[in-house]
Amino acid sequence: MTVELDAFAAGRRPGFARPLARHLGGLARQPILVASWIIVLVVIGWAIVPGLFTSYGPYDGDAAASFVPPSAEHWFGTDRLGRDLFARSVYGAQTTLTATLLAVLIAFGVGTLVGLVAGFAGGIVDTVVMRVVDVFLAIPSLLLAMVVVSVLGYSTQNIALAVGISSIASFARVMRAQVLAVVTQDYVRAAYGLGVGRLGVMLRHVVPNSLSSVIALAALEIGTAVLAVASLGFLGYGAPPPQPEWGLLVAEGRDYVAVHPWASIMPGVALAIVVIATHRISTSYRKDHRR
Amino acid sequence: MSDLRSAIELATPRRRRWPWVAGAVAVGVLLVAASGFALTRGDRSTGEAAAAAAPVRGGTLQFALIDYQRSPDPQWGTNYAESLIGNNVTDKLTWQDPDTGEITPWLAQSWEYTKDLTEFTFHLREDVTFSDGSPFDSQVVKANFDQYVHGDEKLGINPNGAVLLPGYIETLTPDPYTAVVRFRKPLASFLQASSFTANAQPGFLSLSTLKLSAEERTDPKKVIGTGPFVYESWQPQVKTVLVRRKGYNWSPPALRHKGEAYLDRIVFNTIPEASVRTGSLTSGAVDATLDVGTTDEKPLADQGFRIIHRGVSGTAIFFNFNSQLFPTDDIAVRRAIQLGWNREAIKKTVLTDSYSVATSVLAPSVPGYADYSGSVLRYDPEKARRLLDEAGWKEGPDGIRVKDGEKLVVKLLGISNLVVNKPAYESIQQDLKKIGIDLRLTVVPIPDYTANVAKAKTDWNITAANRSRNDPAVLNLQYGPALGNGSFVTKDSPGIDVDEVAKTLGKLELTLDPATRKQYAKAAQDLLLEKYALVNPVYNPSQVIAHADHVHGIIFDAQSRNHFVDTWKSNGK
Amino acid sequence: MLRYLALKIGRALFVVWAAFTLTFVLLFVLPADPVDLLFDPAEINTVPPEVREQMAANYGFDRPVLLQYLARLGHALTGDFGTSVQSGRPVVATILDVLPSTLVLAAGALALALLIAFVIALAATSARRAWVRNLVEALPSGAVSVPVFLSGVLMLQVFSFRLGWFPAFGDRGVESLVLPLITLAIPVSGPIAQLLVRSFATEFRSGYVTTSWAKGATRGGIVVRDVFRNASLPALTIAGITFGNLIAGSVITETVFARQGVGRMTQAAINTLDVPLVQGIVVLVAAGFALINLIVDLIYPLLDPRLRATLAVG
Repeated sequence: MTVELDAFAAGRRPGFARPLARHLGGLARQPILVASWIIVLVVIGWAIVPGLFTSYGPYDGDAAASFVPPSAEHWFGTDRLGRDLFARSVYGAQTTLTATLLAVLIAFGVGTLVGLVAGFAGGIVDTVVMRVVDVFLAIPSLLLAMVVVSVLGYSTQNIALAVGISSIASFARVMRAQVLAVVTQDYVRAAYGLGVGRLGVMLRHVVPNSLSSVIALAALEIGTAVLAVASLGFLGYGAPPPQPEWGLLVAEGRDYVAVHPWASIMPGVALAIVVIATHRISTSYRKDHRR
Repeated sequence: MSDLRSAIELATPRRRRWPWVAGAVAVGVLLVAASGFALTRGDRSTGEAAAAAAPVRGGTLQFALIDYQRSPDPQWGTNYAESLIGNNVTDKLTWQDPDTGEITPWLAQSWEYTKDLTEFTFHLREDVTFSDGSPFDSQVVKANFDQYVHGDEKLGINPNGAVLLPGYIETLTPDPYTAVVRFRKPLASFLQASSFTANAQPGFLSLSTLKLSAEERTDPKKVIGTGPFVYESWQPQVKTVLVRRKGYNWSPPALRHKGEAYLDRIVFNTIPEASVRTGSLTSGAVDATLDVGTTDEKPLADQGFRIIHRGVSGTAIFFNFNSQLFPTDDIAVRRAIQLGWNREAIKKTVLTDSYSVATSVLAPSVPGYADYSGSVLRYDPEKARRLLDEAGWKEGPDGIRVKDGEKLVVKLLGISNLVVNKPAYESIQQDLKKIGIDLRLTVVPIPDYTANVAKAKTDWNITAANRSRNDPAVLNLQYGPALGNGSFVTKDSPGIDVDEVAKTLGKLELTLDPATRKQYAKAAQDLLLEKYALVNPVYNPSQVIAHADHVHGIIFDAQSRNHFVDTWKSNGK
Repeated sequence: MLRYLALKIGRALFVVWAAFTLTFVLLFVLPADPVDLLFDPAEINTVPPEVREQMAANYGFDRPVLLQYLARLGHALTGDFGTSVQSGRPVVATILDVLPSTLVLAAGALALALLIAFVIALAATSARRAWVRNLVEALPSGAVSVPVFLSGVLMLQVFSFRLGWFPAFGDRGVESLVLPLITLAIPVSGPIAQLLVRSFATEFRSGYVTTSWAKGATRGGIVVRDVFRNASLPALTIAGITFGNLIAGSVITETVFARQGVGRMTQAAINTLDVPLVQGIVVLVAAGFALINLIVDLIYPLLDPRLRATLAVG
């Protein structure tokens, strides 16, 4: 009986959906939430149609404009080769969002499934699966990431894959703790009593009621994933040049921090704002069904 | 502790008022940060500048660098910290003049060699002792070279010198101060190797040290050399401390330094982050730092710090073309790449005055260097386009050229260890795209580079690296078909005469006559750069030190490693 | 109870063994050859094959992989992890040298992270205005989204180089610890704060708090007396994840602040494929991880009466 992580179950409440109208009505009273939505939508826009947001190309260096500080012309300044950093951030949104999404989906998808199976099946399955999860938590994630990237090749997708894989274990643990907590609830017992099959109980009651906390973890994981990708960039395992990627922009800019601090601060601040906005949105959903 | 307090205040609930307090604190922190970044850092007194004055004895030099010594054993190592510290703990047989490339006496007073360059006889100084008092003699030379080349399996010592001294047979000791080193085949580059100060250097260790296992050599006190400094302590990841060797009196005559080192102590501090090294120098925590970030050079100079540098001797950072893999098996593609990138742009955005754009595959400091900036190593996009057109490469819909349905995609493997590499390669990538070449960059840390080099023959069109060796024979080592074969020249390489390459490069090991050697070096460069276009040299890497103006006399040797025997601080602290 | 303990210890040992084995496999999956990494990368093509073979034999890399594994496992069981390929020093001594430095950093950062997390959770719970609460609740995700190397480098710029309050490198006791502690504590505090915010909120709505309200207690009083006590317990449950975060964060913190430590050693060992050293570190980390889980498993039932009952039954 492992008790870890069932604390994430703390805010759990049955029920998931909520009328859209009420939600929109609530938005007007929450300026920060509105701002968060705008930020996230804009960034998604960057990823889909970057050309609409900047007139500069992400790869167009101008030797005469090396390390120009932020100005009306170059909002984030320029990098060493004279490339517009705002343009690189805008075009980098696609790489970064795809990588983050991929990492979170892998961690969330596989982790949740593993946790669900372990928690619901119990017994020997649970023991074996959770020991494997423990082992993955114990191995340095850098080693795991290096193996994935070195063997599969250098690309943002593979880096995202590596980051996702190393987060599977956390998700599995949280999900399992959730499932264990839900299974003992009265309404689940009641469902069994009414003659609902195991699969039915799992799909109808256990999964929906366990997911909310895992989703909250996923919101945090978005930040963690971006950060992990950046950290790998710091350690030399970044996206292949000249591809712009937010984490890598920050990681490479840090070498110039004494003289040209904007080169890493501007993308760094942008990154933090987007993560916070995403988080704000995800918590708003969590609270919706808390009321 | 005050920022800790502010962090707490930032979040302490103070009813209603606290969000504004927190906001104010946050804004305050940002303002402090912003003002801190303003370029003016206050003026430094330059009154101390007294370079012409007599050296002051004593003091501790706090030195910063990026790497750390993984073991105090100077005869092995692959990074700068290891070779640099090794150089100040051990001495070599000869000293290569960094300006002329001439080999001059050090522990050997004179030498002669047989005409076929297989036997080198060194006459040793007779007054040299190790720091444990034992004498330096021909037995020591023999014991060192034997272990250096063959290793010692029982002691766990690797054959560190096997690559530097290929074909080593033995060292004879006709008398205590004469050592005869014999090789299986001619090795003209051995004379320079006897002065070698870079990675895995032939610095002499005492007989007692040679008996120690690799494990025992991690006790720095037991690693005994003849050098101007001796180990005080070694703390991996953090620092190595050397102290002055009492009674030292045999620095290379070419340095004109008499007697012991001036400094009492040197602390080599390992600081991995570039901005932290720079900040430590400006804040006075260190006196000098190696591995200065290129963008930090100018601000440091403006603040009165001295920037000294020397190009890394040996080859430039090169793009070695794979001469048997599509599409770099086409000489037109290789020539177009040589001509297709703007050297001025790299000079302006990526390099500083301490670095230079490559004008040959050899660095200018290597004896025999010739300048090719007027012939093939220049920016001429028109000619590059024409060469590609003539060879049948037609521009495709996306601007990338195509021939027989195959795109002109060139895959490059590089190392990310030098900060300059990535932006320099990206700049070339931009330029080549304009003439229809898609250069794909894979610039990775050393382990992944070495793993991929093993597959370079079939997987990579270009490998980008450099090799440090201040002797023209480095070309034979790097490109000789029977040795490094950097361009994978085989009978499958279209239009290339393998025997010609082997013969032209091999000649560099056959003579030590400066004039003839210069001629051979020119022929080798002509072949590599012009005739077969096997290499596209990019830039000459440099070792850059920034130091406070109270530091004097840091020496760069021919391998661009530093010696501190002549270094002193005007404040003597 | 004894059976429970034996079971838990058995599982912990299994985790350590499996981590040892899996690491070994991973190191051999990596395409690089550890012998190559003992040479200058530009030299590799020039190394004569017999030299390479001799060096491989020196380290036993020439033997069949299975034999290498069994030999290493056998030695590891006796506490001997061999010597580091790079330095030639025994692995155990190498790790023990740097372990204290990392332990101090990790323990200090953990304490600070807990403090930050509690402060954030308290602020979020006691804030009356919704928007303030929302903003504070977003802080944890903000904390995990600032790269450790950026915050570290920026803090050094301001507090070491401009203001001169703290040394940038070297070991000057407490002074040298302040900035690394803060740098490492920020990302570590994120998940803890997130968890506390949620459990504080839950406790606030539970029955005993309602009772206290009814008795006329103040909001602040409730937070401190009731919620704090009851909601702190769950913090224990993410001890494992927190430990992992501390280890991962220490790699970069130690690099930025040029500190000696296990994190930086891990990175160097992996980068040079120093098989014995990586094995030693992984076993250490896995053992630490297993130990923490074991302690949590043993302590938790003692603190929570509801679980104690379950335990007695199971």
